[in-house]
Amino acid sequence: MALRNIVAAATLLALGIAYGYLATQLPERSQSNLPGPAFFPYLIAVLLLALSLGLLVQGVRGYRRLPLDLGLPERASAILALLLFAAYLVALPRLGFLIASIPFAGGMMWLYGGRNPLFLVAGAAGLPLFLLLLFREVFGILLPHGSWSVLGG
Amino acid sequence: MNPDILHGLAQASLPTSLLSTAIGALLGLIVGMIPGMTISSGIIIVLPLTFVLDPSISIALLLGLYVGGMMGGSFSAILLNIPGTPSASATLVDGHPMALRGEAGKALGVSITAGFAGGMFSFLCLYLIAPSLADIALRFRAPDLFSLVFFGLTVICGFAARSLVKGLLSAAIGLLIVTVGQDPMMGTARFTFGNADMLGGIHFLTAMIGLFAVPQLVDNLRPALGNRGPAQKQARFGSLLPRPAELKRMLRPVSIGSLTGAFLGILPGVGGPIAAFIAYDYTRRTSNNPDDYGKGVLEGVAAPESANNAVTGGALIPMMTLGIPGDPVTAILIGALLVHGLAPGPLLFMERADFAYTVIFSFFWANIFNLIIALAGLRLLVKLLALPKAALMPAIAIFCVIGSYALRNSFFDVQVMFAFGLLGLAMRWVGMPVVPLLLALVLGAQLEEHLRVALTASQGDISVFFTSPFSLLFLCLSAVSIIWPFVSARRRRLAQSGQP
Repeated sequence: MALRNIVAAATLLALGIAYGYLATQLPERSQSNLPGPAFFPYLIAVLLLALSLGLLVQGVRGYRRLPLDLGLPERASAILALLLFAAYLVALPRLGFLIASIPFAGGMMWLYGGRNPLFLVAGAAGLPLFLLLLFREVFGILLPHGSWSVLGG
Repeated sequence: MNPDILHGLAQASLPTSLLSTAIGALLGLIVGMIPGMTISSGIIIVLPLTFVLDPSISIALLLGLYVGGMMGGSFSAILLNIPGTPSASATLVDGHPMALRGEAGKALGVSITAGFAGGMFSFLCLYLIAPSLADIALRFRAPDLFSLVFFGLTVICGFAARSLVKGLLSAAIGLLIVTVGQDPMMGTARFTFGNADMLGGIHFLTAMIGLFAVPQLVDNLRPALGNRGPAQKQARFGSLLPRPAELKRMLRPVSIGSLTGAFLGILPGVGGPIAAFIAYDYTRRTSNNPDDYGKGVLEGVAAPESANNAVTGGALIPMMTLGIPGDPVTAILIGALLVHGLAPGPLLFMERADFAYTVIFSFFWANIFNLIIALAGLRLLVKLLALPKAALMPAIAIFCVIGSYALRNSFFDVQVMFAFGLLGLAMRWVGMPVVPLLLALVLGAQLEEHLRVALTASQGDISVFFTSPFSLLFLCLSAVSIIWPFVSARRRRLAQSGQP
């Protein structure tokens, strides 16, 4: 955890510095003693920098030479799921809700252990169709309508 | 009787509101019960509907879900030894041993009745305390409101994190995100990088969906949790309703649990798990047979269940009267109300008292329906414990997209949701809690506005925060909540070093 604290603290320090710099570009009020749009961001930048330094000190004090454990990408399926999700978000505005959701639902079902082909096909097609009809027809909620899709959302 | 109370009761008792409450309670029991699903998951599922439904129906649905979710968590804790929600963690200590002894029905019955008692007690607290507290809060001026919101944030950071620094950092990131978009007082664009979508700022509901749902989707990929929902143990329940002698035994733990839960629920950030463990521990320590606890005694189920259900009504008190959410669910309730132009806070009781009482009575009905559905449908509900994750999780993922898109019909919000999901995973990687970030997103705009209004009115004189008694009180409480984790950690270290 100490190494992770150092990584997090360094990232947040960089964020705090960049944020503080951007805050200096914001306009000030004509009366200098009154808080303008930059006032609150300044306070946050100071808070973020101070706390990041605190975390850095905690990390350095507790640092031991341990193998770098990245933790999160411990499973390929987690990365695959996130990539699939990202691809779905890219496809959604182009293909529309129905067309984009079918391969996404199928892929996610497979990642969560669905192996029966009938279950996969029925679920991948049925789930988006059911949700489309439910939200669009029953509740009147618009779902993404794809720019390339003839079937739409 | 106050006409607003009657109007609120009538509105909450309309057939559509009652149906919505019942559906919410049923859904809440299901999502609370299934390990890997949370109350937040349930809310993500119904969130798109709340944008199009009438506010009173939306709030009835969400309250039903909140109350049902709290109770549903105990079912899997008792039957499977896996708490459906973190609040049910204390319930399994005695609940599961009872199930193993063949007393699953009795344990579930005690859990349901104790949860109902806790919920109804917290309804009474909400009904009696909220209007009076709102009256007091109406006297607050900008410095008091700033200090109050600041206090709320510090308490959340202290309770929600093992490390106060990480809790505060999480809140600081939330505050940073709040400043993206138009400045609330002058309308100046801040940190938008010329992107028109960012002018409206980051909507905290999309952030919430990403922060909670995406890490949950990743969690459920772990093989330890299995690819199917945990198999249901085919326990024979027998009668669920406790007998008079058992009800008598439940009286003391339920009283302790209800009082503890309702009181701790009022404090922002404390939440169900802490209340449940404190109630359990106090009941055990004051019992004549403390050694029996952990082996399957009904008092050990009644105390935490009444406590975590009492937390729900307690958490609604600061949400409705001060606009301060006590936990993620009440934060989402605030968001759902804001979408309809209703801002929780003291003014709600002044300007829309009828609606405030609608919320209070919807909470009452949520507890009633929760009891009825849990008792009548328990045997059927527990069969859902065997639902395959391959069907559940893709549906949750698609609901995330629908929920974030439907908020403003914007793909930008969908991308923001996913980005917050990645942020949630990164924060978990470094052991940083997400709850302070979420609550900072809810409270940040208020914090900035009250601070700037107070300083503008006082011509930049910061003594205004120390001369108002309310403000001074909240600042002192903030200092205590910041210092307290250090003091208690030092005491723990000293106690440990004193042990042989």
